[in-house]
Amino acid sequence: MQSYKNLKADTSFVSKTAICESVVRETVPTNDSKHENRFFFLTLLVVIGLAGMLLWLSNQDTAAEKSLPNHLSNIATQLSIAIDEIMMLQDIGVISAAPSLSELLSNQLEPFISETVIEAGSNCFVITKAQAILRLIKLPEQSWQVQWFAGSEQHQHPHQHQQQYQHQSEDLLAQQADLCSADDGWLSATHPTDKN
Amino acid sequence: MMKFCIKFLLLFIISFSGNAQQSSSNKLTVGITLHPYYSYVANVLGDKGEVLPLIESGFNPHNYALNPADIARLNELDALVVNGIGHDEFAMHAVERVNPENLAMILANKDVPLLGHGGKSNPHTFVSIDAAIRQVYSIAKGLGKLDPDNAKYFSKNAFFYAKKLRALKKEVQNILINSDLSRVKIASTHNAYGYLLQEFGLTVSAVVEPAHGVKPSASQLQQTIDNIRKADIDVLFTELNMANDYVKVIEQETGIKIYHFSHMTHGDYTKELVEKEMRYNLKKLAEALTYAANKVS
Repeated sequence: MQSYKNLKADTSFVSKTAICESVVRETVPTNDSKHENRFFFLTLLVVIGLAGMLLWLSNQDTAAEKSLPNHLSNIATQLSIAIDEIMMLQDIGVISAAPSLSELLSNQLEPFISETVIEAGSNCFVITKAQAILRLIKLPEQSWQVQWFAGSEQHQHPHQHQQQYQHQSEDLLAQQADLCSADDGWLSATHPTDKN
Repeated sequence: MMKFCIKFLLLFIISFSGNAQQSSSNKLTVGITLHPYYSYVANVLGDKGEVLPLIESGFNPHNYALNPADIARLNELDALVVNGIGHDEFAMHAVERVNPENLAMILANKDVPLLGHGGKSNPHTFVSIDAAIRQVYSIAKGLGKLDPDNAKYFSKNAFFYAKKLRALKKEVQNILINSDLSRVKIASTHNAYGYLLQEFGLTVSAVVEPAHGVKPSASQLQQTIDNIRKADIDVLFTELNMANDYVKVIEQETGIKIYHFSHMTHGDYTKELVEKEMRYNLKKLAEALTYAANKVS
């Protein structure tokens, strides 16, 4: 019993010493807000960067979803109808696989008989109307499509595009657009989100 | 011998009724939501199918809600032809909810270059000749996919129907060939006639109704009267079969001449409805434009 009491006293002595020796010293830095400032400005930069990126992305979407100007709707409809009628006439052998403008005219197809249409290449017919260009085209390994020229990539900002319409002549636009190629500036007249 | 004759007769009757049943089941049952689509589909289908209006005539499709009988009708269909861009939302919602088995949706406007502003499209493509023809071809293509054996028959029917519709337009073009329409200014009660007017190189300068069938408020009406005076509008197109007394007020206040167009969503469903109503619309258009051209010259 005695020896147990001694042991208990010894143990309490050892633990008190250990506690005294393991005291942690913490240095608290002066609150000069240098860290906070750095953190704040870094967060600000990230937020601004993120917002800028999202704005750029949303502008890209606007360009891609740009729809046909209203004044071109009817002529685009007629071109779209012509696709079905050309295919039907091809089916019954009335016109050739790559129809010429004269074949389309002789079959009284709209809008070829009522508008000035340029045969710009094989399976490629172009109409310039109200400072814009429309084309009926069958690109290799694709079906017939009605497309309108929305300007080259650098002109795809809506405001710039509007200015482009106002200041450039139809001839200049015609030069700018490669009339019968798979250029990015051509957009689908019937499905606004489709790019060539 | 007698027994043999009876057996033969029975066999004949059974096989005949079987054939009849098969041939009728081979025919397509195509649903439609609006009157013009009945005419389009009936002309394309010919005798190879049946057109079934989803709602009885006499109901306004703008605010219609399908009842259980209409929904049951949905399940009988092989295909449903819809405007799909805002004039038959009731059907779109019902199909979404009911999700009928084996129902093919034919979106008539899928290849129509639409008029619109700010992402909202004008759904009145059926009050037009060219946009109607475009839809007729899309319907023929859609039906051809469902019944490939008759695909060429549907295309041929579409081609001849398109020819009929174009002939209607040609008559008016001939009347107006020497008229200068460049200074003619037009207003309409609601924006239903944009597609038709564009075919004649015209645009709508002012729209009176805030929405279809919704009367403008007193201040909106005053604003419209001011706009018509300011823009020097020559003619106002309004809807036939719709009570809109405020149009008379506009007529009295501005001296503008009013002409009525058919919206083509009233009356019985018939194969000839589009031709009949479009002929009427084009006649009114010719009258209005002749009057306006003489006024501005």
